[in-house]
Amino acid sequence: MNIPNLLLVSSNQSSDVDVQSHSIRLDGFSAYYGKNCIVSDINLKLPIKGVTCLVGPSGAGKSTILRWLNRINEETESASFSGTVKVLGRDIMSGYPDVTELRRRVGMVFQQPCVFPCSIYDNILMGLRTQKLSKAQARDIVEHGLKLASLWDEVSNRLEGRADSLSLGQQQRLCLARALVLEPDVLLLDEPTASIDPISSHAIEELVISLGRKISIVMVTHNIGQAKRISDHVVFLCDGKIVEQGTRAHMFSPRCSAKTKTYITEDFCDC
Amino acid sequence: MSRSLSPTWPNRIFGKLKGLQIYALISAALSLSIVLTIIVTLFVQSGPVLLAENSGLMSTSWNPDKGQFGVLPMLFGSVFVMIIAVSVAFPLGLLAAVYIAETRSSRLRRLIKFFLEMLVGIPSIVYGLIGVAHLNIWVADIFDLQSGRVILTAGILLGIMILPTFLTLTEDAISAIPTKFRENAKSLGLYRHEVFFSVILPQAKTGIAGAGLLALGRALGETMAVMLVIGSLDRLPSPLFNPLSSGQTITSKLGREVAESAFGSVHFSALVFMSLILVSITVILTITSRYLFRKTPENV
Ligand SMILES: Nc1ncnc2c1ncn2[C@@H]1O[C@H](COP(=O)(O)OP(=O)(O)OP(=O)(O)O)[C@@H](O)[C@H]1O
Ligand SMILES: [Mg+2]
Repeated sequence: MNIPNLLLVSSNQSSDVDVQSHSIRLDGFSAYYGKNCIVSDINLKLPIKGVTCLVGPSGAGKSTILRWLNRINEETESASFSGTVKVLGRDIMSGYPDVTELRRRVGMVFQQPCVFPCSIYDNILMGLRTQKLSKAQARDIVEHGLKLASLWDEVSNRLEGRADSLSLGQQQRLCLARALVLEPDVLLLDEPTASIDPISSHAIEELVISLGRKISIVMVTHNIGQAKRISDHVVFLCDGKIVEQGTRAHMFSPRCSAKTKTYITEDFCDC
Repeated sequence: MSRSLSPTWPNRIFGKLKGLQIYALISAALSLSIVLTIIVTLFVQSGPVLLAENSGLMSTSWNPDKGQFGVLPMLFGSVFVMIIAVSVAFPLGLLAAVYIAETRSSRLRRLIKFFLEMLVGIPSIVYGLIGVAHLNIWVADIFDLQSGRVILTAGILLGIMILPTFLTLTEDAISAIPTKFRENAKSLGLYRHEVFFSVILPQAKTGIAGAGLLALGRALGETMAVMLVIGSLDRLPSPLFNPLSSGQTITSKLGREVAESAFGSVHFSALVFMSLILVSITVILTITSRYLFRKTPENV
């Protein structure tokens, strides 16, 4: 059967993943737009499972880092990076000669929701186009994906309806469902709850926590409370540099650095 | 106190809107009446040949001295040339447009677009001259013909002429689709061609159809360049679909004979009738493409 079983077992994690201890590893990573250095000389190691929250003020370079992890920033003409980036143990450039393999294994939900102008049903199956699925399998996948993203109850009776008639928050969850049905090994979420109401937001947090037991999730959030609720690991970025990183327990404890404390308590960054 | 919030400001804006509406109405009425005038004139002026006995409009022989005005050779020539032009220009144009639109280098894109738009502006007589000077001879050489002034030459030349128009408009239609769709599709692991066919094309097809229609219109209406290279033979090719025989299109026929026919004569009327056919084809094309590519929720 082809039904996604993200929440059951991590069946699709191939053997080369299991022997790696890091899902993502950045060494001396710098990112540029044209000549502007946006992110400079970052080192980062993320475990093979767990939720990592990227926090930091606007313009810190959070989205930029995320967009390099699945090489989608390649599509931006002026963007470039230096240093090495390894995803699932392989260098993102030399280890993935076929970039689509990287992108299949590293799911991404963008900051701005963007659904394709076709039906909700077709949106979910967009990434599975090349697979030969029976009607029943396809339906199961769609239902499963929508349920994971807690959108099923709202749209189950209009799967053939246009996706761009959904509300922004619904579109965001549709994007999440679309990424989930591909059963990624790493999931990149750029403020996935920014335009979502508290109830669905809570459901998504639950989902992220439970997915985090199987795969690696990197999530950008401006919501400190959210980071406190769901993260295993927190990376605090400011002005393209890592100010501090550590486990949730560390980052939200009195032992964290003064700058982190200021940011967490006063939502202010003086770097 | 601020004066800008005086109670009359909404009135002023709505007063202006009304003026704009009247303006829009007038220009709409004007364009409609121009179209109607053209169609009515064509019908009225076609009268004599339609009423004349034995004019043999739907025959294949054109001989004004004997009162025979068979338009079939010209009609066939127009359609044949158009088909050749389209089969040259559309596949080439579409491929090139996709390449240019999806290239990451905006500098390359701007450069190509600049030259394309310059090509669009070159008068058709210039293409005609190039056709006479080169294309004509190449075709004769390649197919071992006595003269290269044949339907194929006209078709290819026309294809080259409409290529820039089709290409640049198609490229516009494709690159008008926001990048976020490409990024989202690619982040789902779709290959470039899958992104194009599943996400870009469905959104750009209305624009591409528009580009195609405009190019077709230009192909159908082109006179000078075709006249110079088609050989001007008022006969159906034999065998019928032989592109290596000389021929005649409606426009090249009109270009040659309008000046030498007397206004009001049956001859003149036959020429007007041919342009009526041309206009009808254009109208049918427009309506069909509207129908095929109308924006409905199901087919976007
Ligand atoms: N396509 C681009 N071209 C040039 N500069 C860019 C581009 N995208 C982002 N930048 C710049 O890079 C810097 C970091 O942007 P980024 O989107 O990574 O910030 P962020 O941390 O995600 O912020 P936010 O929390 O507001 O989303 C900003 O100064 C921004 O202006
Ligand atoms: Mg961002």
